[in-house]
Amino acid sequence: MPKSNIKEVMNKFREVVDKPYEKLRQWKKANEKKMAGCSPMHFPEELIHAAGMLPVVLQETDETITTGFSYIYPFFCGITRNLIDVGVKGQLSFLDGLVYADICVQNRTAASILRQNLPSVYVDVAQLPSSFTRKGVMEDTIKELDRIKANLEKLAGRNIDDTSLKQSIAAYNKNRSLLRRLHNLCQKNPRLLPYRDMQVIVQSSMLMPKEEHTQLLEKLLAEMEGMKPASVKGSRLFLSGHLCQSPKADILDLIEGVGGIIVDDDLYTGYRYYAIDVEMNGSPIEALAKRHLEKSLPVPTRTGLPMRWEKYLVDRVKASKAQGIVVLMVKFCEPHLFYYPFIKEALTKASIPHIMVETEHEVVSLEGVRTRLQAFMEMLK
Amino acid sequence: METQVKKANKLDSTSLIGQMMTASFADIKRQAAEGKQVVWANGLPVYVLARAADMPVLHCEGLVAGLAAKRLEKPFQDAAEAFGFLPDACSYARSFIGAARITMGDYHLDPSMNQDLLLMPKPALYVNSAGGCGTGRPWGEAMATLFNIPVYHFEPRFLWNESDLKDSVADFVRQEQEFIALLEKITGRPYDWNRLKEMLVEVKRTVTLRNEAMKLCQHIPSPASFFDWATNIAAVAHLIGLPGTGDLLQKTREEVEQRIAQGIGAMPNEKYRLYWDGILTWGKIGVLANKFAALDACVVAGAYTHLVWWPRPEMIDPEKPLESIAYNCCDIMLLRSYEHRIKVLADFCREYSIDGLVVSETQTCRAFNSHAFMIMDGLARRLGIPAVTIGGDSCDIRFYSDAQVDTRLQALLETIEARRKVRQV
Ligand code: SF4
Ligand code: SF4
Repeated sequence: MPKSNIKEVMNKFREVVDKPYEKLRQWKKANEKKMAGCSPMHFPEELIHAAGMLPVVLQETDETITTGFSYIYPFFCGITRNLIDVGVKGQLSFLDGLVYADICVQNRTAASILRQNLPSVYVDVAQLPSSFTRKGVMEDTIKELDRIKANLEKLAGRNIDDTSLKQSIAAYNKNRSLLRRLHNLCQKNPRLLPYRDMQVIVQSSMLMPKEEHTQLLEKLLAEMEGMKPASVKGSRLFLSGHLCQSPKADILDLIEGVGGIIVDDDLYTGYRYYAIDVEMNGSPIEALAKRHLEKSLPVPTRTGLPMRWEKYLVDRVKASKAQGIVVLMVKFCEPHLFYYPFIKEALTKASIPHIMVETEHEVVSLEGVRTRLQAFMEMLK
Repeated sequence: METQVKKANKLDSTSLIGQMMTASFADIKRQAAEGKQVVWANGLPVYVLARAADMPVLHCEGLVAGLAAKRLEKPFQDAAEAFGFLPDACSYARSFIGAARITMGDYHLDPSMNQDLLLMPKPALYVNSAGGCGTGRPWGEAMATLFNIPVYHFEPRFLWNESDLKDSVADFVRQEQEFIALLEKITGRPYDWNRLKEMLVEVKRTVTLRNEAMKLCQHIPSPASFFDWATNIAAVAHLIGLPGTGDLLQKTREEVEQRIAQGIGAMPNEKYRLYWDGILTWGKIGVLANKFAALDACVVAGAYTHLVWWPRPEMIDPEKPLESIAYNCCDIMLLRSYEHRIKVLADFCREYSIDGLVVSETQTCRAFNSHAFMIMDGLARRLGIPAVTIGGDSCDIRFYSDAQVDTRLQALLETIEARRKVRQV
């Protein structure tokens, strides 16, 4: 595939990411298919897919918050405020369903406000266990997934049998494995893509029909795997944090612009999204439950995991041979706020330089961030 | 001529709370020194289970609120900030994580500070039961990490539908059983069910008396105010299950009845009756009570005081202790759907003859702020009750501004007045 084809594929990905809800509305009209939005982080999209609907992971958009301020305080995180705002403005009403998985009190608030204000949309919340050491946690997860499955069946007007659920899981596993391949490729050959494009690829995977995304991704990979490593100068960085939403492209550009070479990450719209597959053998609902309860990747919204996030980060940073770490924190994100002091302490103990950058939904001047990042990069040299 | 400054007429019996809190804290420290394993807990009073296992319990919010009311919380917050906490995080949690850092010797108090009051005994167990507020999760994990101790996370379900309560209670009972097994493991003793039952007799008496006394505030003028009931939370939270709480509430109830008989109000001249949504800025409790008194307004009830702590006393049956606790932890306002909340609030406003709503923005608590605007809007639509928001926070005083509160309250009272005039026409 010539380079122009890479551009073409990227443009297809970008089209849906740039204006997700507009594009999805058009897609729905053209395909006459039901569509259900789901909250980021913990909802198993495979269930929606197996019901024959298009699953879309809700994304934060650039829309300025206006009407939303009559529903929610400014000290809620960006994606919560943004989704409430676009929801009450009617921009999500094209969805047939909106299914949440309880992440934190802010995301539950968004679910509740949207449930109240989107009368035409079926809104449900999966209360999947968050304490992983509790007795009977597996049974509870399965029970809740079964309840959600039954409701999705009603919404879709069709049964989700084991065969179709397994097919969906396979489609998702395949996409995840391709994303991991891309991740590994960019680790070996950093700057093959600007990091903002990596984000576009992952976000588009959350929005496009999986099979279509997989096809495009295969094309892209075939081309990229044949490319010569770019010669890059700068300092190797690990990017961490940013739960639920993608960091804005200008921050990513800024990091790269001051000489950062992003070699690895644990962002939600990054490694977290594709790190873990769902098992293919046995009962598919059980397999989804197992994935929910997977303990190898620390999640700050869950408890009872054997490894703390800070310890995991130190190990990952060392393995990636990054010289430093940029912690991107969504302003007002409580799960992250509570882990940051521990992360800071652990990184300091491990002599890993780090910088923390808070990000906001509203457009803010990046000059201050630029100066801090430049100083950080100087220090790494 | 000297103008008389109007002040809130506080309940005498609430002043006993401070003494009981001080005594209980000293007692916990004494027990810790004698080698008893201490429990630190946040949130809902399911920790009474640990108290019955003869483990002294420190209730984080209770202690911080008490210290904040005396403006002594700052060293805790400084310790948390020195650790890397940003002020956006729940200030109850942040303060107590600061307290933990101090306890561990990772942050040193200025020698001029009251070490006795600010140094906590180390815990052997942490209990998170933040009423379904997800913030309790990383908070509990943080505590467990700092002290290298076990943590138990209670997870009551959010009640999206009215019919969900029964299942939620059954689920919570399972968690209590698991927690009791953990207590047995930690203490190395079989659980003392008799002690728990005895404790629940006292709990039932205390919370029933409190709820009855609060209900008496439907009387006009109200014999007590939200600020009395806020101080009084300690009796049903930090002190719950301890001897003396029932007697204290008996006194409170009698005092309230006496005031009604004598026509004495909580405010010298009650012209407006208000409802308080959200937590209050503890460091300003006295200032706020007097501010309302000066404006001839009485805050007669609130969500934090009335709808969170033991909201179902009638469900307490000491012979069924786990179910009793479960009902009172699962059926709280924070876990209820918007439809349910607005219905309860509308009934409340009618029963307590509410003229207006004060929504206290608790800047670092998203749980208590989750539906503030919809509640304001819903009540305005249903009952035509006006509302105002005022800035603040539970224990981070930096989010509070007197000037802003004054202007907003003035605006609210003017709206109420205008509404009354329209009605008269
Ligand atoms: S986890 Fe953080 S970013 Fe996600 S909804 Fe909660 S507060 Fe917002
Ligand atoms: S955020 Fe609010 S409800 Fe949650 S733990 Fe803190 S004070 Fe409690």
